[in-house]
Amino acid sequence: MPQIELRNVGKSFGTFIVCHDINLVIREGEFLTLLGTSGCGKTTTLNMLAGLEEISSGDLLLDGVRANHLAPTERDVAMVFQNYALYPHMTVARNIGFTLKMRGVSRDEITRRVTEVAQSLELGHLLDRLPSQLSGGQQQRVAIGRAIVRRPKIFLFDEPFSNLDATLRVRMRAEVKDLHRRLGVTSVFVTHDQEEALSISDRIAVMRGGVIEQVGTPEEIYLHPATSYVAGFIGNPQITLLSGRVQASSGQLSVVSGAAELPLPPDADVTPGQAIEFAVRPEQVQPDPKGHPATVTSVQPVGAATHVGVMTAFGPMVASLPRFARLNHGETITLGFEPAHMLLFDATTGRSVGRRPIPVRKERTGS
Amino acid sequence: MFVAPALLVLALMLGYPILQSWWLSFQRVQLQAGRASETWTGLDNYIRLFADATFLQAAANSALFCLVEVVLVTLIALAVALLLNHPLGRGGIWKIMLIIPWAIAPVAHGVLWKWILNSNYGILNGLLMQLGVIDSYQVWLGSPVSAMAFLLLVDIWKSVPFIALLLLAGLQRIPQSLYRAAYMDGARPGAAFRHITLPQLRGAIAIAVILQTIWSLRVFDIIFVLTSGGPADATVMMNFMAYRTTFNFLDIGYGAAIANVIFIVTVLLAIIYIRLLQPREPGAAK
Repeated sequence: MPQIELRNVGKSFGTFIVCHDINLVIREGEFLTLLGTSGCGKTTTLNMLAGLEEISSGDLLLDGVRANHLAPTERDVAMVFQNYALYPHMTVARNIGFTLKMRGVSRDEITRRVTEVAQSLELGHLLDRLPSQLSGGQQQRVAIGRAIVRRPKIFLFDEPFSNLDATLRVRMRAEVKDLHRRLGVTSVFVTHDQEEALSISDRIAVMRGGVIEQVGTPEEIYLHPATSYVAGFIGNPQITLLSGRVQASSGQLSVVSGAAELPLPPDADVTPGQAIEFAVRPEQVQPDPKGHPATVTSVQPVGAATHVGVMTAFGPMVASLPRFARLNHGETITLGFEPAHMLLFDATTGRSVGRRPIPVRKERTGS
Repeated sequence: MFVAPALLVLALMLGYPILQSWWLSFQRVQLQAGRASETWTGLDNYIRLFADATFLQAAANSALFCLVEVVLVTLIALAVALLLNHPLGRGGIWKIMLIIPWAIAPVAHGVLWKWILNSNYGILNGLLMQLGVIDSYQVWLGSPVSAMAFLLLVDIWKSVPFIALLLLAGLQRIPQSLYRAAYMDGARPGAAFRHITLPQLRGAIAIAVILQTIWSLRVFDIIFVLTSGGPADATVMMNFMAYRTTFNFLDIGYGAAIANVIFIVTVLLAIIYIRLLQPREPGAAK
């Protein structure tokens, strides 16, 4: 049985619709990330799961039971907030123990569990400190401790790392992933950072304008984006979508773009004359003596790879070349890619028309 | 560094009268034929205070007035601030209505209440009579207990607005995320008030209590207008006594001594409050 299920869930403030027909099934023990830019409705969705925000339409089911009107504690969820929301006047120990105190847990039991949680998060020596005396990473751990001390059935994370510096963010990512592995508690994580989402999640739900664009494993999302938006949003460096029109000549499908004609994979779900958008992931664009001439427009070494921006006959592209590629601005190189690696989208709907079309997933109940 | 000149001017402006007042309090000052004769008497004025039944009465009155007013003003202002902070109370009109009593000039305020409480044509008598609460017009300021109670009522009415706004500002500084976190932690509204609002408001309450204590000790205008210390010195407070001694009895040295006692008490209270309400720092700072 799915542990969390959203059925046609919507949220509107007056006439302003924030979330629209969200359908999502989250399995027990799963780590699911809601990914999207700010204002896409991901935090609102999380708040509706938490019980902080009322659900305007549709149903939220927890363990198969409608939970729309349950308070957070009745839903047995705990949340880690973006700014941690630690109680500034309480020590670390009291911050972590507050939720137990509110449930009437005995003082000895609170002390025991707070100590236990603090040990597991390496906060043991900080129990008497105030939040203001902690570093960002320590505050983050206290916020996590506050969520896990009560052993909830579901963890909710609202962009918990966005206030941390880059190094710490990567470390906390690993810590949260490890925590999830150890506790096995169903977790819903909100972020706008696609790299974070890819690295931490079992599955990702990409949101845009209050709807879910695609739900899938990081691999599915990256390799088989369901829409051109997902293709552009996921991946670093970002791909450039190019426009073209499908053409058929002697049984071979190709796309005409600018002055170039590129062969399409035989199993592409397109018809001649169709306007499409296409792109190739930068790491799948490689030097090829028989490839397309390309003029170098930018060179960005990032250590493991060099991101090379080029201009081709069909438009701008980015190639991710291994290590430090010694290239000069304005130099002409030849680049090639497999037709099978092309991401293809209908120009009007933005839906994938690639070789293995993945329909925009409509998660349904039952079965 | 750059504020030093301003501070210096301020220190002179404030310091000179204070020093002058201390100087006067060690003298016996007599006004004779247009000039003042000063005789050094040391601590005589201060020693005299403690044998003066009127002063002891005034001190007791001040203490009672101050205690009752601080407690009531803080509680009422907190309630008002909570109401104003509620979504239904956020409209500007409520704040404007709230601020009116505070915006009225002190003496006008006293005179206003003098009319309201008047024993012959006061609106309070008229109102209570029509409602059938009383069967004859009352002299509200005529008996010691009632006079004190009405002074308190009048001063509380005037003091609540400012303290309420002060506490409202404090309330609005509390991050909403704390309430969300508390809600997630299972805190009901009562618990959230106790564990989030009150501790977070601690600083604002401290300031409110200090200011109100000082203002209550300083109360003068409404006594001057409403009771002049009567009946039978029942509402004489230290400030009013200092005024009366200095300007009515022209015992300037003694008046200055009373004023200085008020000064010392105020300073001591401020220090105690600040000490008491400073957040304790558990553990060692990093």
